[in-house]
This record gives sequence, C-alpha cells and structure tokens, in this order.
Amino acid sequence: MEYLQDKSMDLQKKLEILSDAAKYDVSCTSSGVERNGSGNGIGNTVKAGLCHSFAADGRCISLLKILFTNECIFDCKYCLNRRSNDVKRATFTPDEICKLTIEFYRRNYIEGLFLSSGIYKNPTYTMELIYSAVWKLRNEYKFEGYIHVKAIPGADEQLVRNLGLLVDRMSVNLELPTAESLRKLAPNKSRTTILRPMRLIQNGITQNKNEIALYRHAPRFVPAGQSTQMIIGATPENDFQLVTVAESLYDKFQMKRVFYSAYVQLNQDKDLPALPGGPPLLREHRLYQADWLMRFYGFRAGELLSEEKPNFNRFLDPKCDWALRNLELFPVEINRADYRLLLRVPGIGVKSAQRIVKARKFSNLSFQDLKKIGVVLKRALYFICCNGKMMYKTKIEEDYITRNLLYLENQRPPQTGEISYRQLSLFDTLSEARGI
Amino acid sequence: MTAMNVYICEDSPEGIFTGVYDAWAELVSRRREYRSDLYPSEDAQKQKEYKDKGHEGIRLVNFVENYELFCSYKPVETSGEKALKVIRTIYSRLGHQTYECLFRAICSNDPAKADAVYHTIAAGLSTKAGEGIMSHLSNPYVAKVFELDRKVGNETGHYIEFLRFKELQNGVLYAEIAPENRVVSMLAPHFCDRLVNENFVIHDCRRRESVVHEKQKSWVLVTGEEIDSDFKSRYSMTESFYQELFTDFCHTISIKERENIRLQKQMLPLKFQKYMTEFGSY
Repeated sequence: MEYLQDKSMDLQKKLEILSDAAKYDVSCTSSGVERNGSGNGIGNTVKAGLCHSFAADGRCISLLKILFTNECIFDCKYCLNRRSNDVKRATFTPDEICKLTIEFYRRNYIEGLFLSSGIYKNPTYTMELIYSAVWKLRNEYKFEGYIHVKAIPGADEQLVRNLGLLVDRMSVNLELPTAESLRKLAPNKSRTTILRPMRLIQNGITQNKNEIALYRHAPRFVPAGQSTQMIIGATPENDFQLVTVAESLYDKFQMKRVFYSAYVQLNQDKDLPALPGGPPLLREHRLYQADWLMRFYGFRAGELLSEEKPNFNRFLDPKCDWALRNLELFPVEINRADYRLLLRVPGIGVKSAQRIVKARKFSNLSFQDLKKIGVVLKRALYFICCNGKMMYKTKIEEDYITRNLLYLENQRPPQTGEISYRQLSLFDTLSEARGI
Repeated sequence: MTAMNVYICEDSPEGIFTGVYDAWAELVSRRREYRSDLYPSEDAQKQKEYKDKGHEGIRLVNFVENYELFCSYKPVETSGEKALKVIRTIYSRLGHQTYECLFRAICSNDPAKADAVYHTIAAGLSTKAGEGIMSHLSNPYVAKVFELDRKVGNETGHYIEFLRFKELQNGVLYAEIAPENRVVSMLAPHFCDRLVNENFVIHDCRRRESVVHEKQKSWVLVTGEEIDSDFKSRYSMTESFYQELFTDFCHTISIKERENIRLQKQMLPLKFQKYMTEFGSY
C-alpha cells in the first residue's frame, strides 16, 4: 500500500493537524462494553466509560481523537477539510497511530482510539487504510482498549463487516436531519449511502447477538453499539424535527447514542447561516436534555414538543416545561407513586427515583430524607408531597410555579405574611418564558 | 445514668472491625449479666444501673479530641482474628455489596466513620433488613455510610481517570497522587488488569503508601516507605516527547468558539489538575 505523505513532516505537526481536523466530531465516549484484559496485551474497557481529561471548552477527552488523513475528495460545505479549502494536509501511517495510542494509553492519558478520516481516493480505499491501522493495533501491538471508528459511507460492505469485529463502536454520521438539507450542504453524500452502512451495522449486531447466544466465545461485532451525530443550526429544521429523527434512530436503528453538534462557523458560504452569537449552545443543551428524557425517563418525542410548539423553551428545561403543561398529574405522593411517575417529576433523577423506591420499603419518607437521597428539592417541591403534605404552602398553578422556578434564588417560596408580590415591568420576560 | 462507652480503635479496616467486635461482645456480656441479676432481683439500684441503652450507648472513634463527662473510654487492641470474624458475619448476613460499602466508608477521612459503620452493622443484624440495609436511608447512620461510600467511590473513580504515569529511566511507570481518602488500594485492581505487562508504582504522597505492581504478578501495598526523590525525577528518553505531544493534543482538540473554562473546572477540579501532565506539572 502506498501512502501519500510528506516525509519531512514530524509526528508532532501531524498530530496537531489531524487532531485539529477531528475535533468537530462530538462523540468521545468510551462506554458500553466491559472487557477485562486477556493477560497478554495491554488494556481493558469499562462499561461506564472513563474521561481522562477535559479540554478548555469543557468537553471530555477520553479517546485519542484523530483523522487518518485530512485529504478529502468531498466538498461538504460545513466542513473544514472540504477539498475546496486551502488547509494544511497530512496523513498518518498505521505505525504512527499505533505507537501514539499505546504510549498515550500506558501513561493513562486516554481510554482508546477514535479514528475517522477524510475520503482519500475513494471510500473503500479510505476504509482499507483505517482497517490496516486498527488491525495492526489489535494484533501486533496487542491493544485491548477501546476503539471507535467511523464507517465511511459508500465503502465496501465486507470491509465494514470485518472492521466491526476489531472495534468496539462504529458510527456513521447522519450529519443533517433531512435529506433535503443534506443535498444542499453535502452534495457528495446522500441519505441512502448514509443509512445503508447504519443498517448493515445494526444487522451485524443483531446477528452477532444470536451467535454469541449459541457460541459463547464467538468474536464480537461492534459490542458497544453504534452512534451517530447531527449538526444543529446549520439548516432551518426545528427542534421537533430533530427529536423526532433522533427518536426514530433509537427505535429503528437501535442507536446507542445520537450526538448533537452545535454548528461552528468554519467556512463562509451562501448556503450557510451567519451566526453572530456564536454556535447555538443552549439549543444543543436542550436537545441533549430531551435526548436523556427519551432514553432514560420514558418520554416520547411527541410529549416534549409538537407541531404547534416546535421549539424548546429557552428558559426552562424540557422536563419542567412538560410538567408545567401537565399539572393535572401533580402533586405526586412520594411514598406511593409508581417508579415511572416519580421519574417524571422535575428534580428527581433516575438514581434518586430508584433510591426512593428502595428506601420507602423501610419507612415513610419525609422531605429531610429526600434531601439525603439526592432529590433537588428546589425544583421538586412544587410537584411532590410526602404523606399527603406538600413542603410549603404552594399553589399548583402554572404562572406561580414558573415565576418561582425562574426568579427564586433561594429554594423557599414566599410564605403567607411575607412579601409575595413584585414590581411589574413593561419588559416582563414571563410571557416569553411560558413560550407564548 | 448509664455511661456512654467509647471505643478508641485504630484507623484501619482491621482496627475498626475489631472495635465493632469488642463493643458488640461487651454489650452482649453486659446484657447476660443483667439478666442473671434480674431474677434474684434484690437490688433495685443495681437494676437501674444496668438498664442499658443498647447500641445507642456505644460509640466508636478513631481518636479523641476532647474527653467528655459520663463516658468511659476503652482503647481497642487491633486483632486480625476478631476483624475476620466480623467480616465473615457481614459477608454472610449482609452480603458482599454491603461489605464493600462499609469498606469504602472506612477508607474515608471522616472522623465519624467508625461510629457510622458500627451502627449500620448493628441495624443490619438486629432488624430484618439483612442484605437490603444500605437502602434504609432514613436511618442516619446508614445515610452517613452511604454518603461516605459515595465520596470515596467518586474519588476512586476520579483518580482512575485523572492519574498520570510518567516513564522512569528503567521503564517503570510512576504516578503520584494526593487523595483526600485512602483510595490507593482501590485503584490497584483496575490498573493491574489494564497494565498487566507493565511495572508500575502509584504513590500516595499524603499517607506515604504505594501500590507496587511487577509485570505479570499481583500487586502489593507498601506503607511508610519514602520514594527516592532523585530516582523518581529521572525520566526516560521519550517521556518528555510524549508529554509534549499530549499537551499539544489537549490544546488543539478544544474548539475555540465553545471555550468554557468554568465547565472545565467543574468537570476537572483544580486539585486534580495540579498533578496532571497536560496542565503543566512536568
């Protein structure tokens, strides 16, 4: 195999170029698979995943996130490495990747390797390059830690199947939520070429599960599942469309994760929006909150948003927002309510809901106990009661709760006799807060 | 007025479990005495004296800051045999998960840990809770053990992520940490599985304890030994090269438009950053 490379470029420069090019990929998780070391190699994996460091933007660094090469024949408008951009190009050799991974891993800098690539020559050729590096790392360097690779849309299917047996997680980026946006911003990619490898990986995983049921030591195919990512804010889709797409990805493709990436303006183009306020970080945050609600709290996309109300509330998180629209369900009696209803109370998370269910077997729970259990009372107090009593005299009224949730610094709502009115203002943000 | 019995035990798992054994044994023998006294009950005064408060009359501490009135202080002599008996009882009656919680709580640096551990065991053995005792969070002692367990577990988790090895001249990987709680022995299993074919040392510089692992062998805990400071500062040829590479990597991987130092500090507190390669501790 021949590599296009600049012999004079040293490893340091290459790492700088190729990690800089890879950073817009969000996925940096090392979770989903528990595997002990075999005893002859180096490495293991931890089910919950580990984050070894945090960059200045607050995102975790758990994998050595690099591109194999940033040479690319595609011309996606949002991408730094599109062929029409004049940027420095570099290419690793498989040995360099292996050496870097092992030396970083030994020093506990990273949890494994994240390898993606620009499309060099053609998708299949690129995939072969990735395969050769991963094969070397697993078989010659005996690396048993976490490996996440990108499946390149349009690559040979057999190659994807083979690679799946070497890595822990594979992902194909959906990039944009609708086929139309994709056509506009990524002319070389199409919805079908993206969905085909996704389906292929999904089928591989299902088939592999059956094999493992039969033969316990059958090689594992993508044991940590697949993930994908969407760019937020580069195209005019609303939040409702985004969460619906995410939901169908979870339902129909059994995705482990869908990542949302706030669009960062890298290129100037007539088809791209100008973002004077910086990347839409709050919107991304709300989408992640909704994503968690769908994966762990049993919410459906249709409950959180609808055609009439297609965007998230800027001021309130999706769970509070949902609760305020469904006040007829509250207050919830902590000592009796069932687990699924407890999960829906703002201020109660999965862990505290589980603890409540366990602890109330022994004794009646009071608000003091809830505090110890880890419930965020400052939010929960409007929606719960213990033994038929609410914590303070509070009204179950949308305006009242919204006002207190938004403006109250301390957790106690005003009591009778205390001042509970406030100065009206022409520029009241309350109506905005209620999404009217 | 019955006196509070305070047992002063050594600050180690063996010490605290021995304390649990002794305190319990004395309570049982006192009750037995009381019962035998009860029946030829002539002395009402004596009866009153023996009227015990049960477990509430017992306190376990690791050291005494200030002696109190109406307390009798009893030093406990650590005994491996007694500790093992207690551990066996916990294992069979309360389950291994409870044992692990208690062990982690004992590794914390909280002064109230010994007392919380004793009363949690007492509550577990004297009620029907059994293996489910750790979910009995409305009991203040159980809640305390639960809190300490979480604290120590979280710190262990953080050090698994944030400790950094440096390669010394002879190829040994050396890491230095300064944890609040005694977590060094809980880090060992993870790293021994991960780095079977490496020689490594994890040194807790607060307690002068080290985990030492030799290639393909099981690890040992070395206490009270000082590490040769000259030796540990002599790195291998390539060490600074990889340190620089990783530091540069951490800088380039961050997206300038999203910079958020507060979030970084929230996720990775400064007390850890002090010992980490990429934040300039080399």
